[in-house]
Amino acid sequence: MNDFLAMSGYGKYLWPAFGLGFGVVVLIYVSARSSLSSAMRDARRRLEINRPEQIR
Amino acid sequence: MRTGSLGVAQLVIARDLRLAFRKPSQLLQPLMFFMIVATLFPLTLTPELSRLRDAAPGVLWIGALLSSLLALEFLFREDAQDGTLEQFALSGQALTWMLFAKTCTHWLLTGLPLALSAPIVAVALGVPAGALWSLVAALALGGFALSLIGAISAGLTLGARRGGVLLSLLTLPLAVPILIFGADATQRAITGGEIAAPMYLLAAIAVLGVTLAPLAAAAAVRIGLE
Amino acid sequence: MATWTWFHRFGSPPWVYGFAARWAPWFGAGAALCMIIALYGGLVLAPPDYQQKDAFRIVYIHAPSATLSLAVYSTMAVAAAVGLIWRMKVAHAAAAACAPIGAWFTVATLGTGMLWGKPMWGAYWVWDPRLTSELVLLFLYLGYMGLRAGIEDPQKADKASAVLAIVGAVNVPIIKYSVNWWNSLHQPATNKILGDPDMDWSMVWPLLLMLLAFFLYFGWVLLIRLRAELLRRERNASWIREVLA
Repeated sequence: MNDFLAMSGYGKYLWPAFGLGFGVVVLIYVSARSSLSSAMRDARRRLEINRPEQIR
Repeated sequence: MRTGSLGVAQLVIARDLRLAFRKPSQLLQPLMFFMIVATLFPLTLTPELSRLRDAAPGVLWIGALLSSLLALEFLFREDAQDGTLEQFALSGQALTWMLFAKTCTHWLLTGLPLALSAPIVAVALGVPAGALWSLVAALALGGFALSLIGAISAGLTLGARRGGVLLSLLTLPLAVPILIFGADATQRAITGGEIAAPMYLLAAIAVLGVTLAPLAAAAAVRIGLE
Repeated sequence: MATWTWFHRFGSPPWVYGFAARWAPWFGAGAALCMIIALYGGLVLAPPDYQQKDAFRIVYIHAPSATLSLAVYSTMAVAAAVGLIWRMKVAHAAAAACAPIGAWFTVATLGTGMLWGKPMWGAYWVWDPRLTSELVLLFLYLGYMGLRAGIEDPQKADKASAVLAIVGAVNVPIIKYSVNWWNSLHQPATNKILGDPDMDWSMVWPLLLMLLAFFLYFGWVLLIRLRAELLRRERNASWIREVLA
């Protein structure tokens, strides 16, 4: 297990690199989701619909 | 009276030249900017000519690029504000061709004088006399391509907030190939090598620009005028 | 003709919204599955590289990010062109949705590239031609997003940024060519770090699968963002009322 984490000494570059890559992946998703929920909120406000419990 | 295409171009160019020469001091501003920027490099790097010579292609081309960016703002701005651009678009003549004529005038008033005055700056940066003609040729050609590409960004940012900064931000990545080939040509000229290859590539970009850029600029202007 | 009905459906915002809502989770599930298998293959199963030992494994996050950063730009440019030529609102919405995704992929490419460069070349940034092109691509993305943000009228913003995306797309190959030209002038030895032709199949299949995973992931987040864009653009359409109620 320790060998796996160390990655022949390159671990301190490899794991942050994957961390950054997957961090961006998560970030893009979170940002997309929040963009969608804020768009839904704005649309509801505009159309004066207020039944969030029924929305998927 | 129906004017032929050449006549239209002549009218556009003549008008722009006449307007420009009403305020001759404004014509000198890009040149002065170029010289000031070029002066900043020795002040911030070193006065040693041998080391300045190494940096000369970069200094000359970046200085020329920055001056052109400043001058590009005025390519369409005044005409857009006083409604002339709208008249061009409604005139029934090809807007593409008219904007191409305007771009050529812009180069005649900015890029070409810049290229012609570059030797003064170049000598001050340690560039040998033998390289000066190629420098002028490269800057003239590169400046023309730059004006063409800049016309697109100028058209796109006509209606945008803080259009000036945005214009520069949009133009700079597109100008990278011009800078690379132009600086390479200048560098080769300084070290006495063959400049044909980068010059041909610069020419190729200019030709591509001539065929495609005015179309994109016209599209951009039409969108802005809607 | 069947293809035309299909094309017409994609021009209808409510239809696309429904399509996106229904299919996005499948893209997400597919992406997650492929990523897990690819990571296992790349981090555990694949043997270490002869020269780079385990450092080469960064390729499994770096190369897909790089490919996607370019693929997203192409998608953006094509969507923008479709929107401009056929005046399809959905296409413009898709282009707008692509931009932040592609920009982030570019950031990931640059970051992972720097973390790969430090152990391989000794410095985080050495003006490698591929990373330099990637940096210019980031500026193209930021310029596109800046232009969109700088124009008030949404339709004008759509069309102007469409022109910019197309101009940028034409320029990307030219920029890459010029940066490679520049690099060959100043660095005689080419670094094989990013283009090893002798990779063993056990190293290659996780890379291909990871690439597929990233494409599926792009589809997933694009569909989510597209829904948001459509909601924002179709201000008072009745279909929104039905969708939300």
